[in-house]
Amino acid sequence: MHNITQLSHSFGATATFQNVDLSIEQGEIVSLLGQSGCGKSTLLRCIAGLETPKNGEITIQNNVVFSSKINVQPGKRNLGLVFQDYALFPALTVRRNVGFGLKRIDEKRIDELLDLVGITECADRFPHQLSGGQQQRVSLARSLAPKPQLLLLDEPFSNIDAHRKLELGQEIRRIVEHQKISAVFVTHDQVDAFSLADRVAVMTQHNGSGTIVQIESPHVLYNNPISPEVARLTGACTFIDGTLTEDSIVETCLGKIAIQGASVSDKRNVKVLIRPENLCFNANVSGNVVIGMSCCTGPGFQLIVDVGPTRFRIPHPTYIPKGTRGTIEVLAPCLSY
Amino acid sequence: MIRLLALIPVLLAVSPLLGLLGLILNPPKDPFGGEPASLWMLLSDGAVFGLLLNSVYVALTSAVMSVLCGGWLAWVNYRYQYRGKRLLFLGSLLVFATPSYILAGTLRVQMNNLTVLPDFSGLWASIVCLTIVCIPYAQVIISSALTRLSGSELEAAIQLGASNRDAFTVAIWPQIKESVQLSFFISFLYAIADFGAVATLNAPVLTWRLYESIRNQDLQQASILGVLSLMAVVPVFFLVNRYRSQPNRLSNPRKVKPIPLKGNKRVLLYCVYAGLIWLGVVWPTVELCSWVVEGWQRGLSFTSQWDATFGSLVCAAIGALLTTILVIAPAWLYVQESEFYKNSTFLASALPGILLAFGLMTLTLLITKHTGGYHLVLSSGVLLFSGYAMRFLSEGFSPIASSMRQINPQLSDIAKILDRYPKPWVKNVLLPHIVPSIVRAYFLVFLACIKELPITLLLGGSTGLKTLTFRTWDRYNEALWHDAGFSGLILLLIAFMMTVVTLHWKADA
Amino acid sequence: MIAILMMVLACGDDTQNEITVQEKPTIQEMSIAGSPTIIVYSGRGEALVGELFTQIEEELKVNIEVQYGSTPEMVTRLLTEADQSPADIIFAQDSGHLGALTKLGRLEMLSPSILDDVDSRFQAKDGTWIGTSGRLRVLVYDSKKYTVDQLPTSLKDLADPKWKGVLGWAPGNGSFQAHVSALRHLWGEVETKEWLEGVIANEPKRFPKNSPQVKAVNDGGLGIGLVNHYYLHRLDPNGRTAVNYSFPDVDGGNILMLAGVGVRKGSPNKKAAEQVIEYLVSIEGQSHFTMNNFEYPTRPNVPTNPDVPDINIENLTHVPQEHLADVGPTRTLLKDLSLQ
Repeated sequence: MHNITQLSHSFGATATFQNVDLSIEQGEIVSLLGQSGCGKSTLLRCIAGLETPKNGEITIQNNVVFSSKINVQPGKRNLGLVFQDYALFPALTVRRNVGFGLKRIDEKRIDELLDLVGITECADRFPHQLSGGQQQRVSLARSLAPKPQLLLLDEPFSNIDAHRKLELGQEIRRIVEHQKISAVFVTHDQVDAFSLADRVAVMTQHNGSGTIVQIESPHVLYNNPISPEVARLTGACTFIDGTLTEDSIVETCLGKIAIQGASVSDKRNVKVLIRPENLCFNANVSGNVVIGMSCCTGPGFQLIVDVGPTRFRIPHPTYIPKGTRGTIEVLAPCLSY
Repeated sequence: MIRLLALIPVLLAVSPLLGLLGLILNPPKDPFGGEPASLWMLLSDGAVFGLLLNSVYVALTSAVMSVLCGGWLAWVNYRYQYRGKRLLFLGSLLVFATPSYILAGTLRVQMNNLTVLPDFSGLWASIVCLTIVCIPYAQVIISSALTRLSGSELEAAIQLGASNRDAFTVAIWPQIKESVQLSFFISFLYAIADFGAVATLNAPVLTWRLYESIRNQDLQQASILGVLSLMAVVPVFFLVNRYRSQPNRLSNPRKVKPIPLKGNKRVLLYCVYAGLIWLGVVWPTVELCSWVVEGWQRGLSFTSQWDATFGSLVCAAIGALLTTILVIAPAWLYVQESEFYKNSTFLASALPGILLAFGLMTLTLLITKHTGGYHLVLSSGVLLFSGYAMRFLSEGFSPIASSMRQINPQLSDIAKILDRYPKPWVKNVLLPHIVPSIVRAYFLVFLACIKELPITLLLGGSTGLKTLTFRTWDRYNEALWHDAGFSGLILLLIAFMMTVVTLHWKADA
Repeated sequence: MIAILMMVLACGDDTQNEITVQEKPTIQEMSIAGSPTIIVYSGRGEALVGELFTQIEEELKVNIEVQYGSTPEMVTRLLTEADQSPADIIFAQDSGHLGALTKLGRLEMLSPSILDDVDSRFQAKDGTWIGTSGRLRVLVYDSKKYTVDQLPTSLKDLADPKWKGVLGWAPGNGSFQAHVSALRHLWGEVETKEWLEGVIANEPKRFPKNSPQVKAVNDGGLGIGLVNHYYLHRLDPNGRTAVNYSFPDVDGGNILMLAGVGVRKGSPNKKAAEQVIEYLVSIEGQSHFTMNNFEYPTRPNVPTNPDVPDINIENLTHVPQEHLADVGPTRTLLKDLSLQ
């Protein structure tokens, strides 16, 4: 439905991102996940038309809005944009903010939108009289007024308190479904990305310029990161060195570990990806590891165990005091690189 | 379109220079049949360079002293607590209201009455007057730099046992150094461009002699003096530009808790404030009143001042309107794009008023030689209001530009996405945001116009509008002090009121 | 006293004495109906003549717009604007500039009836301008410091080194310029230049205008100043220690200079302008100059201000107007000596 093909952008001589390919289906929510400075916000602005890419092609709703010959103005691309700090027009009421994008005043449509995001009672207030959450909803309503096909959100979760994030995600999902549009949102937080997106596009920096390295649904992404970098971006992990002793078995500091699909003939030394939930701690007086620290995570505990130079964080349902001896068990076959 | 509008101030800045150039290249014949002095003779005379040196000397000394005094007052206001702190600081800023010629005129009378002092005139007297006039500028600039500081460094230094002086040197000075330098240059430019004080005190400096040459229709000498004035001003102007950009503000700097002021310093402070407020505000008012009273007692007749008051208000109102409108486009382009628009706007304002007026007159002469209509241009007031605009563009520019800079750029992004750019965005976002600053700028320029002397003298008369400035100047020079006092008091009253209104805005300018 | 003066000087040109008061139209009859705006370029300050023009506006029921500047400025402006000039009347601080305008053919001939109002010495020979008031060059001295016999007996004495450091003058002032023009005629170019250089060597205090000089003398800050007579009378007579002094003999320092008016050649409002000028030299108009400004009248039979002493005519020096009109070389001379 919406396509970005081989898009590149640079600020002067410095390349911001290169060769980005991304497609968004109707009704889909895609997340751009990456560290600060990898170019994801710039990519969003390029899609919006606020920045001009160097080359590539952008298609919205099967209409080419950018190519080597065409560059459609931001106002004509049929998009919506919501900024991290909402950017409401301070001199206008909520009602007029929301109605700003309409060519003619349409009170019915404004009321519809106010109702959609749930701020009808604030209609005649000014932005400075609203809370952060209310302002974000106004911002959303405003972007939806001209009936865009694609909604762009820049770090929508960044200014939200932790306990509200889930709620926000659900609201965005509901709005996208109700308005029958698609959405792309930018975030640096893996949890936020995973909670809302249908697919996550991971963006990393190589040689100073960013590029999308993997686009998958969250679950697939988490379990099959294409590189150690993607693995780090998508969840807590530790890497340990290992030597293949036989097919799919490596010798590591934690003993023999099963890994997924690697044969001895390919490579002997590998890096093994260990996710915390792959590990289990068994208390045993004759164990070879000692608990260094025991932290409470709320629902459970996290045990900090050092094995040589590597520090492992192992989830555990109950409290085990510091200094307890035991062994670490690796539960499932791990990924290796 | 907006670029065209923004270029008008640039053209304005250049026009007096064009006028001067035309005059130098094509010197007019003396209409009375005298031989025009040759350029070479004038230059080799050396007297003109003496004037340049005098001008620079007066400006330099005034600037140094005003920065020292004003800076110290700003520092004490920031660091210490003492009785009447706020009132005294605001009171001393009222000196902004007193036009320099009224200050000089009244001061001269007081000083001459204390016959033990030598006659209060010439260079040293000008230095005294200009120092008093420039102190508020230093106070305001350095004060606003201090309020942007975080107090944490100072308190950390004191915690670690540093003496007050060391704490100042280590924690404060590096952060306000630029502002101190900026206020020095601003005071210098103001002092070297001053006409009112140096004319009243008959100081042999460039601006005053330039005016005298114009009065005598000695146009060639006037053009030489004009060029020398440029030489004194333009280099400093470029130095000022390095400092004008505002440093990054901490969003919520931690305020220093003021400590009580004791002992000798306190006495000194009260003395300085008393001296400043007395000489700059109270005495001029009192003296003007005494002239009026004396005239009334002697049964002298007073000229009605309604026409002059009306004229002053109208000239200032129109001048401020024109200036404020002209300054919007360059301010916008400055915030969006480049420093060029700011620099060109400020260049015109750095030139002395007398030079601007003279350049405008000669440029008009040059053009109307071919097109005719000299008297039309003069009597329409175009020159007067252009002169005001050129001189005070910078006053209007600063508040408007800093207000524009505060607009969230994302707002225009949103407007672009919603396909409601630029017009609805200008109407609903830009204008509501900048209208308060436009009003501020208007009042600041209004105050400046109503106090202004040289441009009003040279270009104002031909419009047929009388002004309080002209009245006061004319009567003072003809020894009709009762009338001078009358019009001067009205002018001071208006200026005081406007200063009080704009006082807290001056800090942003 | 003035009547005797006029009789002595008006030898041969007696026509004005024959005109009696009854034949002159009264002020009311002079009122102009359906009046245009008369524009006056005035080299005399608003402080001196502003009130008078307001008075004329009321009496004659005309609109008068006066633009003020220095005499050289206004004259140059008149010349620059040439035929497009809106000015009707030029009011100059000294007759030299008016003479210069006559030489350049810029002034209209005034009606004989106006010219007859005023002594023949106080108008242009060809009737293109008329004097409105007389101003006497004097020395003003501090009576606390000097007695009359200590003062110089001739203008030339001012170049004597014994007066070093006590003198003051206002060389940028129009009256000074006119005075030097007169001296150039009286003494010749060389002597005038030498005298000027001599005075410069005495380091006189340079004042921008005459009135600060007089005030300075009164306050004790200056010993002797070269000024016009009337500034003294502005000071409060109580406790006034400054005194005017004229030289005891016929001397280049005793010169009566005229301020005067002319009508611009080509002015469309010549008739109305002339009526304004007529008022200026009428009894009412002349009273303004004598009573308010302490100047000397140019119209015969007008009393001077009681505070102002009569002129000692015998000691006055007479300089023909055409020589005073020789302004150019005076300007050059003063420029060469850096006095302007």
